[in-house]
Amino acid sequence: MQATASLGVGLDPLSLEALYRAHAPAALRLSVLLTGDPALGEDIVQDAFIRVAARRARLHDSDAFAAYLRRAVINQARSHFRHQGVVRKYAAVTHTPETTLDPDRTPRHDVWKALHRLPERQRAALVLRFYEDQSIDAIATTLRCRPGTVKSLISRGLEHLRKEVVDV
Amino acid sequence: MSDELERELRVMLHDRATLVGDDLHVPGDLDARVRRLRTRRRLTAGALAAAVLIAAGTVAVVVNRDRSPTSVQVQNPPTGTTRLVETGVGRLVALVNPDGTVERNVVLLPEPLVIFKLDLVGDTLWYLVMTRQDLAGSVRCASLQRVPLAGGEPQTVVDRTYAFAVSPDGSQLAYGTAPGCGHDASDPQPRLIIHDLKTGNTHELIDTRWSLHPDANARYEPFSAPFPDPTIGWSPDGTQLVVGWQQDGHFSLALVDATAKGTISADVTTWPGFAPAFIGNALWYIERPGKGAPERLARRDLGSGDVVSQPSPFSPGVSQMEPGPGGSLYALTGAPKGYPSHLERWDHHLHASEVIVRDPSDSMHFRPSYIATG
Repeated sequence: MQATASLGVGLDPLSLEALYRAHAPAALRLSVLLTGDPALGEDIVQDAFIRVAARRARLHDSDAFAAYLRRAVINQARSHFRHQGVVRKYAAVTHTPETTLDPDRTPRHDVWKALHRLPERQRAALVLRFYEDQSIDAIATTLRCRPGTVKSLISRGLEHLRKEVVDV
Repeated sequence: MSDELERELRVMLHDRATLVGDDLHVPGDLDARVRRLRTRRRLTAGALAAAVLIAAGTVAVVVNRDRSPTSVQVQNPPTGTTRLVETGVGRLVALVNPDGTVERNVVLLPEPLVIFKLDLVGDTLWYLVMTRQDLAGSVRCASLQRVPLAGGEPQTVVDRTYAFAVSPDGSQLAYGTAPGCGHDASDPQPRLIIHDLKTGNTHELIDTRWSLHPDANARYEPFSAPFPDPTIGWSPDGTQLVVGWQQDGHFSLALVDATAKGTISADVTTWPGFAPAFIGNALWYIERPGKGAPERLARRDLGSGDVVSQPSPFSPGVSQMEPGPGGSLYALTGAPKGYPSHLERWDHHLHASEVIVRDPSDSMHFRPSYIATG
């Protein structure tokens, strides 16, 4: 477990807490960008972390753990929105992911709002591309689709954003 | 317009991300939640493996590397027998069914127990057991034990090693030692030992003058990713051994004459490669030409030494290959890259590959006659 040796100060590098402290902040940022909701984002990170940690015996380095966790976060977020789709359909309740971050303190609020009105796959592709700077191939692997599909998701996502944010 | 929108989006995402901050609540029940999930997965995995065994007559292996209860199912078609082996914390249960009857042998193992490699040769089950003391050490090594499936207590064959392979006829054992794991830590060279199981004699096939790496001072890393462990494998006729290891990120393979008596002192040819598997008179292995470059599947003729390679038919991240029936190859792929792992099979006659089991999450090892799931 060489790569976990640098995790945490004063903690057993193999402990779950050390792993959590090392990897959860980055995962939380990704999760909040995907969901727009810090509380929901933290729930998703915890669930994703539990899933990946349960398999950590075969993860030999922190890069592998981080990659697994990132993918688990995306999957959990997608599962959440799929579930919300079912809930909306039958309960006729419109759920708009809403950030508790103060919008007045955050620039480009229109872009943020428009991003969270996109279908979840388009949003995930845009976040991975423009926040994580992932390549098209890497995004395709993460989203389990073909590179051409990723290009299409990004293109359509940008097109929707452009229509919604007229003054950009 | 498009570039400007992309720039705005990029800046907005990074601005938002910085607002999240690094102060996060660490749940106090992480351990309990992970344990609960593992238990649930094992129940599912056991049911799936049993269903595979019953429905398809195929073979399943589920190996967990942690200390929690785990199970291993093994069937061995080449001998026409059925064997079911189940391991748990402190116990190992073998149900042997060679003729329709079922025998049961429960072996109590010392705690704490981590079985991280298991092999079935003839009527003997071989396994590497790691203790807490091993886990805490700087070099991860374990005791090699064997237990007859028909009954009897486990016997420690080698006290400290990290890899082993039993010859196809079951008469010889090859195992590795490394600094601090089987021999003195001041001796930097790993060694390969042949142990004659009939006479008890041992001899060394690699001596200390044989540098495994151009940099003799390089640190030997027997348990670095992507290998679950270093490779030792016997050729089908039992005359050659392939040895594979990783050192400072370099993957190397060597063929060693297993019939030699005494120490092989020099001039053993090594070449880059990993995940070796013998098929007939050829050794197949994976090449990774450079960091990020696509993997290639290579075939080395044992007679002429000629090597032919082609783009790998497997998903990226092959960690282990084994020969399958009819000249096919099984490969465990994906895990080191952060992708879900697959067990895949490739038929070089048909030039076709297929995924056998997706995400065998708790399996680190498989054997040609096993299908790993979990």
